[in-house]
Amino acid sequence: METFDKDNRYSNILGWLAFLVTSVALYMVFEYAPTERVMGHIQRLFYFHVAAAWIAFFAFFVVFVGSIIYLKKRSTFWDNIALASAEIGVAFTTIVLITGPIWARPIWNAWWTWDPRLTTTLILWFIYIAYIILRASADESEKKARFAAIFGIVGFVDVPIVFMSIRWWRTIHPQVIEGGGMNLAPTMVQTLLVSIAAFTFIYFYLLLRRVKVEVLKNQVKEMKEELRKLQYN
Amino acid sequence: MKNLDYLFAGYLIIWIIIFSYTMFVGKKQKNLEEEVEFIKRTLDKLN
Repeated sequence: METFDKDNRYSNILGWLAFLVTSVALYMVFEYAPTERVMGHIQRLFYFHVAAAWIAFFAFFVVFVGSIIYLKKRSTFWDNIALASAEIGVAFTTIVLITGPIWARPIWNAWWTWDPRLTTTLILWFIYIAYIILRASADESEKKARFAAIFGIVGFVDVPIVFMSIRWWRTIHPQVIEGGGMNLAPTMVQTLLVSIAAFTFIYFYLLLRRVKVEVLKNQVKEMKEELRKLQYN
Repeated sequence: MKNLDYLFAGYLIIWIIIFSYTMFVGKKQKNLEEEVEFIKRTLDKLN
């Protein structure tokens, strides 16, 4: 149990850091940032909505990098990182896909429109849901990891499409970054950056814990094999 | 103060998703740690 306690200590430290930064971010969202003139209080949903989108992009980038390294080195470590990051990315994309319509209902008077940004984000969610289903279904672990790695690399193609969709096609989605700068008041930019930092800590906290689950799964598998051999001898 | 219910719903859902996933991973980790300890004890007995 000592080894587990030591491993858990690092994730606990990261968890407390995430909690602290998130508390600061929430204070900034509700107290520090000004109320937007046209949209009112509902605009405060923007900070964590955008932060979730950035972290989802980052998580899928980690899947992309982890998959490439896995295919090169066949290292279980990178395969675990890719799987864990895909799951967390899906969780954050779910946040984006739910908070977006909640903001849109009072502002656009519609929960959903087939806008390029919304549509490509939904496709992104389906791609990584398919990745997770693939991981859960294929039989051989080596074959499964190889297929998933290829899927993780190809699937990432949608991330730059989601990002660029509001520049390539006509859209009603708000454009925060324009001409290299942000269309926001400085206090709003600061609040957004702290919100992104909060979600970054949460991402790494979850990543550490999710990778640990995969390590334990492999350990159980190996030990069961050893146990089986001992019982037959 | 209009649309506060939407704002509340949005933040509630964000934290429900994050906490649910954290609990899901935590429970899985705890069960696996217990399983590792159990197999370890069984292996020690057999060796």
